[in-house]
Amino acid sequence: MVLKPYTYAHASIVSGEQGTGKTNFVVARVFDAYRKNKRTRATEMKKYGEYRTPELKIFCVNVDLYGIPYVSATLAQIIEWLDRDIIQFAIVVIDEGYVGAYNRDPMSNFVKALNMYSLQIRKRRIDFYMIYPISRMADYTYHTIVTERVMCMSYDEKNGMATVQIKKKKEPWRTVTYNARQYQRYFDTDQTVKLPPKKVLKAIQSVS
Amino acid sequence: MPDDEKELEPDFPEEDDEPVDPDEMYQALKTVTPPRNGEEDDDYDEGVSLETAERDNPNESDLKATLRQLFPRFEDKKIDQLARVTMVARIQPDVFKPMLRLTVDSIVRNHLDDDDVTVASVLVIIYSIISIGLEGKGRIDGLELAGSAKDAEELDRISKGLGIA
Repeated sequence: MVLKPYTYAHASIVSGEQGTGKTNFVVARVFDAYRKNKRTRATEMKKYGEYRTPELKIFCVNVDLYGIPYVSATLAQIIEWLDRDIIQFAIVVIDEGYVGAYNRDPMSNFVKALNMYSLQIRKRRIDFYMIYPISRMADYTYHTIVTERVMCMSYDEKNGMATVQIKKKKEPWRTVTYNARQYQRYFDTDQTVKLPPKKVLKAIQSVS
Repeated sequence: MPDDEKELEPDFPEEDDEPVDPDEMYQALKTVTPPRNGEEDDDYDEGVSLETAERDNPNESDLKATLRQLFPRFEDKKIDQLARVTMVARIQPDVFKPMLRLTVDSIVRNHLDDDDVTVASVLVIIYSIISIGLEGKGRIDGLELAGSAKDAEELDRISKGLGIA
């Protein structure tokens, strides 16, 4: 299979207050990409009798998907698989990125390694999505490779419409409104993230 | 080395391990669970998807938005390719009807098994495309629009320079 090279890597940072639809936005992007890939491959099979486009791989950290094939991973596994070239032509979603990629932590091995591989994501044809409540919380080095910033503004529970502002490199901010309710079946909005045990212990020790 | 950093070091394979096929490993690791039951009722309308909303986002310059309306794009690649050329061509009036008939006939024959494609839908689309290019009106409209936008830009620049904008 001959793959077209990426002209630029797609590294997004998605931020917004609680309940504004950060995870919903990323799941919507993942679902739309998965559906497009599935249709393309089905058309190719019908037309050529073989697949010419590889299957889109989806890796998620701290978020579980429903109805979409994906691999649930930890931050350490993502690094290992990046090193072994297992993650290629893929979407990687890291929800609540401040658990492990927080800029106030001392430069942990994870942050160093992730940023080292982040610079190669164009070559590996990976779309990265990092979700933070406030984009400033993301590690400084990640900001240098970000090509898209998304600010989730609001989610209207009555009509299910979410409003986001998107800024890609060299383009102005634009406002996009879409129906978020249709994507809610593909993830659990009430899912919580467990902190690493060491961090919990440290927090307890600091207050006791 | 602090304990935190030790824990984060992944267990890398030895160098003489066999390379892993990424596709095989992904197939072995991936999981699929059914979609969660939504709260939607039978009349639920999915509404605008994110992909559609981003594509149709109106937050563009006036020129871009107007050009998009005057010279529409189509999802079908072949029709889109035909449209892009035809809308800026110079189609003679005496060629209009034969061209319309031949094009509609060709497209309908190629989609005989496709229930979504009807003669009426193809006729409306192809008629619209060819009529835009009739006597070169499509390219004339495009050039006029681009010229107006440039004049407006120039006027805006001059006004700002004179301090009257």
